[in-house]
Parts: sequence; structure tokens; C-alpha cells
Amino acid sequence: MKTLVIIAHPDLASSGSQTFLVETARYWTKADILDITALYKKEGFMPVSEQQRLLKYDRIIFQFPLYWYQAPAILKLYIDEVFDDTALKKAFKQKIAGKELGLVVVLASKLEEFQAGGKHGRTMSEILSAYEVFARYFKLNYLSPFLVTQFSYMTDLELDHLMMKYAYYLETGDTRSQTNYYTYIHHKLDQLTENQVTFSDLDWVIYQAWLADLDSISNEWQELFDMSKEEG
Amino acid sequence: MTDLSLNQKHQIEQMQKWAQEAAKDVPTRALLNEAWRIYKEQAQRLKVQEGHLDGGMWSPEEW
Repeated sequence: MKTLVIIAHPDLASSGSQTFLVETARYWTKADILDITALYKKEGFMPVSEQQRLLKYDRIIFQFPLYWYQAPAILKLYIDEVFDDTALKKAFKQKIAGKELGLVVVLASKLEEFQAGGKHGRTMSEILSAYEVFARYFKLNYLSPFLVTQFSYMTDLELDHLMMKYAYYLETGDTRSQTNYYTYIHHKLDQLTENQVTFSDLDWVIYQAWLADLDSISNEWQELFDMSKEEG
Repeated sequence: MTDLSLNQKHQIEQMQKWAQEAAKDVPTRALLNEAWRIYKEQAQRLKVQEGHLDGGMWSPEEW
């Protein structure tokens, strides 16, 4: 599946979280990145060519920081220009139907603040519901949003986790299946090359043995998981 | 709650350190760290569920 990540940020280069995500996408995935602020500054939004661009992809991701409970204004402008050209809307609407729409949203607050009784009093599903309705209108398959919270407080281990989960989201659109995520990580481990690690011949043997161990432990875990489903 | 033994934890940490030091770049280190996190998580779950596999009827701990 071909993925396009549309980034809506007023100054991408100045954002630590966005550059981290962009570099992750470049390293681990084949997703294409589109910085719409840079595009707008360069040539504005040309509806026909933008629609043609979108139609080349199977999965479209809007990625942005949440500013005052909304995406930065540039995303609204992009949607208005590209998705609402009345002369072309009907044909475009037919062609874009069935594609996936995902969101990657970067939040400064903790996730638990977004709930009834919490600091913000509304859930992220409520706050992002306009995109869900938008997806419904264009018959896009709306994916569960991928939320990044408190990026600047993350430890190295948390950043490592974020990196792999984000790459997984871009490549699969999934945020829910632990089993599929484990398979994804395993697949990446299988593809590790000499360019990525300084392993001696013996190290490779140890590494392969560990992969087999991970495989075995994953199978046992899967067996448990299946059993608990049968019991449940 | 049943926990991994200190020896198991130590082994996992040593192996994790070895893999991390071998990573040539940050994304590879992230992949290896994530793999070790999953490994630890699954080992922990299996430890907690020890005896529930293979029929789920008995545990060697009870012998």
C-alpha cells in the first residue's frame, strides 16, 4: 500500500517532534512526505495536481500538532482548496472513495487530560470528529488516529517505542493489533543487515538464536492469547 | 504477581546492552530496544501464566 503523509506545521524544520517523525518515516517506511506549508509558500495549492497526487496513494495521513484543539490553519486551507473544487468534486469523490484516511496528532498535554472530568473535558475522538465526518463524506476508511503525547518529556526508550509504533502505523494503518505489531517488528529484525550492526560472525549466530527464541516465546504467547479468547 | 527471576532479568539486560552497543544508528537501536521490550513483556506474561498452557489444567508448581 502506498502512503502519503501530509504534514501541516507552520515551520517543520523547527519542530523536534515532526522532524523525528519525518526521519522515522524516511528510515523505516516507503511513505512519501508532503510539507504543505512549504508547498503553499512555493506555488500555492493547485487543486487538479493535488487531487492527482492524492489519487496515487492508498493511505493518506494528515499529520499535525494540535493547536487550540484544532489542526494548524494550513490544513484547513489545503482541504478547502483540494477537496472542495465544485467543478471536479464529483469525479474526484468517486475516485478517492475506499482509500484510507489516518491522523497523526502531536499533543503537548497528557492523554488522560482528554476525557470527561479531565482538564480538557473532551476526548480526542470528539475533538477529531470533524475528520471522521470528512472521511465519511468522501467514503474514506477512517483509521484510528495515532496520538503522540508529551514528546519533549520522552525518555530514549519511549522514543524508541514511538519510532517503531509510528513506522508500523504508516505501513499498516493499524493501532490496535499487538500480534500484528510483534510480527512487524520480527520482520524488521529478520531484515537487519551488516550496514546496521557491528556483529562478528559469532554475534550473528547469537542473534539468530535469539530471534528463534523470540519466535518461540511469541508462539507461546499467541497460544495463550488464543486460549484466553476461547475462554473469554 | 509472579515475576521473572533476577537471573532472567540480568540475562535479558545483558543481551539488550550487547545488541544496543552493536547498533550503528539510532533507528536500529530503536528496533532492537523495542524487540527486547516485547521479548521481556512476553516472557513476563508467560511467567505469570505458567502452567496455563498445554491444557491449562495443571501447573508443575503445584506438584
